[in-house]
Amino acid sequence: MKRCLKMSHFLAVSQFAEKLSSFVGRAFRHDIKSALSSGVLTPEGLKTHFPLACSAAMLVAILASPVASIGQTAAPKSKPAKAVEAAQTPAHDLSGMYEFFARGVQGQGIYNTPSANPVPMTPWAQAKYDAAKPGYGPKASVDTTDPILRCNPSGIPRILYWPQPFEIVQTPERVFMFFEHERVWRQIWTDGRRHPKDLEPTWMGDSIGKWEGDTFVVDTIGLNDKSWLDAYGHPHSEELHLVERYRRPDPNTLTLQFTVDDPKAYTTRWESDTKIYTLLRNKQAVMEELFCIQEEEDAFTKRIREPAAGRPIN
Amino acid sequence: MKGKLPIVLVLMTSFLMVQGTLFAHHGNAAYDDKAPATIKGTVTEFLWVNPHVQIYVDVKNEQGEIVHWACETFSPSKAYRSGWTKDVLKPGDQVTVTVYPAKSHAPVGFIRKVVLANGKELGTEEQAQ
Repeated sequence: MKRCLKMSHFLAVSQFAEKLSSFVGRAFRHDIKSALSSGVLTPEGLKTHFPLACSAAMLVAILASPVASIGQTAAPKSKPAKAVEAAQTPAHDLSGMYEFFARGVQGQGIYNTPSANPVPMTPWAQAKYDAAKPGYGPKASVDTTDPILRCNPSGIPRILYWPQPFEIVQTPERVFMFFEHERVWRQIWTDGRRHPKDLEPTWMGDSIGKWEGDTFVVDTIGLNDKSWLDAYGHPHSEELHLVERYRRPDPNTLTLQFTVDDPKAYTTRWESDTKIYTLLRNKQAVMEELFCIQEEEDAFTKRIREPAAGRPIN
Repeated sequence: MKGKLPIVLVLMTSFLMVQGTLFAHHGNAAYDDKAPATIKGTVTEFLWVNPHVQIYVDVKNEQGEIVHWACETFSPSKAYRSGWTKDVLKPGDQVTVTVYPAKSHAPVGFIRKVVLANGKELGTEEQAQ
């Protein structure tokens, strides 16, 4: 106890507690090992201060956690910590590798869809939707017509909310997105150019982007109508005009909200839910080769999808 | 000993914070995410392949018959980011696998957790968040 009263020790403990609580407050995204390797925690600090600092960090974590704050009135949030975090969020910089985790939020995760709410389909779109045979979800069918299960590209926008990581790289003229899924990439021109006239429809379309305050706004046209908007078979036409809005509310998070404007497929323009992406760090920040290989898809369908769906094996 | 209580508290809090996502998987309709099943048996095949990692397990049922289970999870890359490796399992290994079983009652499941013979647990990335 006497040792703890020494000012230098007190400072060391409090600094360590602050670091640890920051680590705890990031929802245990990193384990102790990665925290050690990243330098957030040091082995010496862990050994010397862990018990005391844990208690302090626990207190901070409990006060900040939604579970513990139920029934409390105005649980104070650490303003200085927030300010520091905001300062660390890079301005006009989306660079990083992000992943779209389920998070227990509807529309997040593997069976993703732009909007949890019903979307206003035209008769043209409704007919396509009714004819679609999804490979996932409530209408899942073994003889699916989902284009991606035939190794067609997911296309824009569906690739954006697939639960595999993508990396954003910025150059002065372009923002690139590299997707692990299908190993595809897209470019968003930021040099002030407009969309070319008479675009030939493609899977990824033509994208131009600009910053509006802290929001990166991407405008895309020139998409073909071969891709679905989601795993459930919501269609779009070649008239699709997509406007994506990206923000970084904190250093670890990227959000996307987009507008679907497609008069042939939807009676009104509609907004997506907000999609939330987590920055991958350290050992998690890797992307590997994930091509869609028809033979691999077929083998998986035969051994897993078909029996799971109730079709006899062989 | 005196250092252990805070560690226990940290673990308890971490459980409280992640449990909201633990049971929140948006399941493929083919799988029953309301009734997870735990199977125990011998690995016959471990496939570290796209699109999804697969574990095949021979499980003895109540009648003493061997049932051949097919279990799948995410892509190898996603499994790697969750702490799996391509040689984490091999034929002959004893495993306990928690799955969302197929609604068809075929012995097929979507993996939620694997416990190895040495007690090591392999989860999925969504659990880690």
